[in-house]
Amino acid sequence: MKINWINLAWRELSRRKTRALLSILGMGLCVTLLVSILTISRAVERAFQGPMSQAGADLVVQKHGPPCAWQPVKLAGSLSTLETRVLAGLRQDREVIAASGSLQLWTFPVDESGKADQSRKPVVVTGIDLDDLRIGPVKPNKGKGTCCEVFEGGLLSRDTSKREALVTREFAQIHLLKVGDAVRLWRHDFTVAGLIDPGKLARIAGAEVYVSLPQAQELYDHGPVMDTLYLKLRPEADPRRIESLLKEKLGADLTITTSSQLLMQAAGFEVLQKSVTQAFGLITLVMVLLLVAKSSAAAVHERTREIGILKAVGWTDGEVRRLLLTEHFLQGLIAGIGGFLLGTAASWVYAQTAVLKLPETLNKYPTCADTTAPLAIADVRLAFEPDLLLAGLALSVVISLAAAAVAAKKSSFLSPSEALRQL
Amino acid sequence: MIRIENISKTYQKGTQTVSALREVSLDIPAGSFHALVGRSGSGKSTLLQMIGGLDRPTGGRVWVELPEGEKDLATLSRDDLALHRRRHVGFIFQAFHLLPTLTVLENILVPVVPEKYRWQEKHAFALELLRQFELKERAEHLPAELSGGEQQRVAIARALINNPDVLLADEPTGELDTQTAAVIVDLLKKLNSEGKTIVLATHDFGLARQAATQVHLEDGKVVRMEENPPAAPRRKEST
Repeated sequence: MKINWINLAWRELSRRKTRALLSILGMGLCVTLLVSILTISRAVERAFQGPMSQAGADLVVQKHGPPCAWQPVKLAGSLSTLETRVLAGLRQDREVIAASGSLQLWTFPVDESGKADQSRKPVVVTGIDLDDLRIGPVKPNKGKGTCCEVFEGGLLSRDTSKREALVTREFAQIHLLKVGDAVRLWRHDFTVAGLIDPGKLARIAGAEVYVSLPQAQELYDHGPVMDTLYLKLRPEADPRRIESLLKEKLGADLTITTSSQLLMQAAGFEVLQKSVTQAFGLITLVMVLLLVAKSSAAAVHERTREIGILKAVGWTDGEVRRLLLTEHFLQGLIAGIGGFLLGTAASWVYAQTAVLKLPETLNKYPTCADTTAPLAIADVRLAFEPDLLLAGLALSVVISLAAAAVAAKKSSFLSPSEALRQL
Repeated sequence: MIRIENISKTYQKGTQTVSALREVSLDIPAGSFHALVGRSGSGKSTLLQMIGGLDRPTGGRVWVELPEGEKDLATLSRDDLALHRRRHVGFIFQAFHLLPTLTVLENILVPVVPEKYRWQEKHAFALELLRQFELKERAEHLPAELSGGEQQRVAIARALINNPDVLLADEPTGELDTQTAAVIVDLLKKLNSEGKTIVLATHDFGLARQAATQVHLEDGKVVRMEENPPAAPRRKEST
């Protein structure tokens, strides 16, 4: 086998296992930190894009107020109403692709005398805007694909005089409902037009029963209102202009949620943790760089003998430097690959244990509902991030080569006769 | 031919200036066998380093005759000096100075690692040296697995890998027993008989007598030169 720079460098690293391992460990941990932070934050960001992308919206607009007193049909949580008449204007706006509204209600069963029936649980009902089904809580369809397949029965009728409902699979199973059966919402019976399967994952204004928006407005009996407005904007749209427009039309006290704000609201801790970890990562990086540089310089001192011999047998300063750089490059490469694998493993552990939830403001569910609140954000799915692998490798190789530069400079000052005198 | 003209070497040791060599002049003809003899601190190792271009004199000149003409080592750059050592000089040290992580064969090839060309030729030559020095079976062994005599033979093979004109040996038998030392001396004499110029530094007068010329040094000065009568060849002894 031809003896070359790589195997000479490798032998040297193998000989100084402890020093090499400590350097690799230091740099590897830096890369682990970097890779895990970025892998997790990217995965969390992707996960939080889910509810907005399911709703097909770039902006979700709501207004919050003090919870109103109990009524048989009431707004969910602390939501206030918005006038639906703004929809027509928004649909005409040049920067808006689609605009839609929904009205999420809690309907409480009542007995014959109109008093609350304590033996039955409230039902979460969302009125959906049939004028534009591209965006909104659910986009019922008859085929598989985007949310949500009507797997039995049909879609809601556009005839607003018909009391029809789509019920979720879970709700239908609990209440033994079939297509054509009646589901009672407050004092009204709605015919089950179809069974829908929106899944159990987080959904803005997700419900157990979906009716048309006019039917929901009739149930609520406060006129043409909605509690959530969805907007899909053109890519070139100026969100600040839209925001001003909305505030002008609907009042200044609006809550406007975008996918990044959703991440901040729901994963505020994660984001804080990310910033803190990044700061620690930077400090660690500087410390590791100093330690590896010091360790490399010390290694040159320890290796006076070898360096002296190499120079005595005719190696130039540049050739000795090249050997040191090769050793450090190998060290950096191992640390980079190891750190990437460790960082990915740490991210995987996080992904297995992470529980991410949609903020309740976007879907307020009564705690006593029959079905599970669709608040769980989809699993944190990790993806192979080639740019992180490259960044990790670059980071460790750069640290290592920076340290090698110190060592190489020190070695070039070493004259062979001095080195041999010290032996 | 190596021509040393009035070379001096001073070191700064703390506040003291130490003169290791004082105006030494010496001619070492090609193919000769010189022994630099003297006590510890007499300047013999320093002189050897000046001859080999491991260090530069603080005064004087070291001229070496090369195929491309005579050159003053003091005028060469660090890199050129390194290349001169690689191509024209072989060093042998008292403590062998083999690299512990490399096998015997790899140690012999260390000087040629930076060379881009003639690798096959060098590899074949290294194997030939191993055969000549009766180390063929040890090719894949690490230095720690060899006896002192074997390690010194590996060091000599390493010094010869580039087929240098000059071999410089600094106390080459200093760490060897008498019998093994004799083998190494015989090897050096054989190399000299094949045309290599040999300069060895020793404090052992017995060893110095094996050389053709003894150069006695004291306090950094050449005090005496002696020509030795040709010695009868030694009987080969195993290590």
